Amino acid sequence: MPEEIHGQELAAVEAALAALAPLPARIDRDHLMYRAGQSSARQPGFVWPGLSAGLAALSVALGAALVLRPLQPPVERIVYVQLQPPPAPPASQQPTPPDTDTAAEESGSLAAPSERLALQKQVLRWGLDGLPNAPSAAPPEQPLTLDGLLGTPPKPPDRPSFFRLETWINPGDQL
Amino acid sequence: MAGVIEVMGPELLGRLVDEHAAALVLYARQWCATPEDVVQEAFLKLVLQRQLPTHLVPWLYRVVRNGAVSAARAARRRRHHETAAAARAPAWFASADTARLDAETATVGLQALPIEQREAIVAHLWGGLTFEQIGELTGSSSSTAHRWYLAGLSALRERLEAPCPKKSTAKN
Repeated sequence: MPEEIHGQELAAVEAALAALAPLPARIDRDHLMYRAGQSSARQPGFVWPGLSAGLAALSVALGAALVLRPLQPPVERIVYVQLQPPPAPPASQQPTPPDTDTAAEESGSLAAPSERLALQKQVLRWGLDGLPNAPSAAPPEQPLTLDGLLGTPPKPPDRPSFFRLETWINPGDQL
Repeated sequence: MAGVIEVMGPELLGRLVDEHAAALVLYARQWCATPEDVVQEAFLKLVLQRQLPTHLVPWLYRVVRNGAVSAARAARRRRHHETAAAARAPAWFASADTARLDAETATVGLQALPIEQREAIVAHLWGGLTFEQIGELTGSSSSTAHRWYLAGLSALRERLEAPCPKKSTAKN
């Protein structure tokens, strides 16, 4: 019974309190709606700011790593290169070592005064015949021709201009 | 990027403000001296939500509660301003001739209650929240919220029914 009375009393207090109305909120409704629209219109996207911040952080990190990285000593490497010897000339064309006098003459200067003296004595005794033989000049190589390359016998020149040139040149009368 | 205002429209937001702003202000007043600012910020936060909260009104009460507690903390740092604001604290209820309880008496009586009991009474009576929702708000169970509510009502009843010195003198 006392619990019921207690409950009824509480219900009365509850009803009395509920009958009171809170003071009206002093909120400017229009201002709130305006700010709500403003806020919804400028909602920031997080993609580009986040991407920019990430790239900026990456740049700073890379720059710091570049500046702060330890200096590495230069690495010295020895590379061995196998040099191929030049191909030896054929034995037929290998020049025989000239004798001293010939070599001295070819070089244009005598290697030693004793050689020069010996040559002088030889000339004084035998005259010019005592001089060593001049080396025979190597025959000039034949110019390359089409027949030579093809291995065919050479044909007589059939260029008319060549004959015209020959006939055109008048050697003149004989004396 | 669609916000809540595009989902529910400005009409629903206006209706929410009309129906719940006063009770929310009363609720925020339990902690801070600037309840209107807190409630306004709560509505703006609602607008910025991407999805409409499932339980809209309890969500608003939660945001108002957090904002009011934060505002009270900030006000505590500005002790001087808080004292000045408390000195001119307005009444919490509108005066009505039909009400059986004086608005000022109710305000004083509620102010004397512990914050848990006050919060339970305000959230249930004027906010319309269930005790389960109040329990979720306060981080307690619904039975605890109900117990606070009853304890607050009992304390108010004792305070309201306590004979004032004048009456007691007349009776005696």
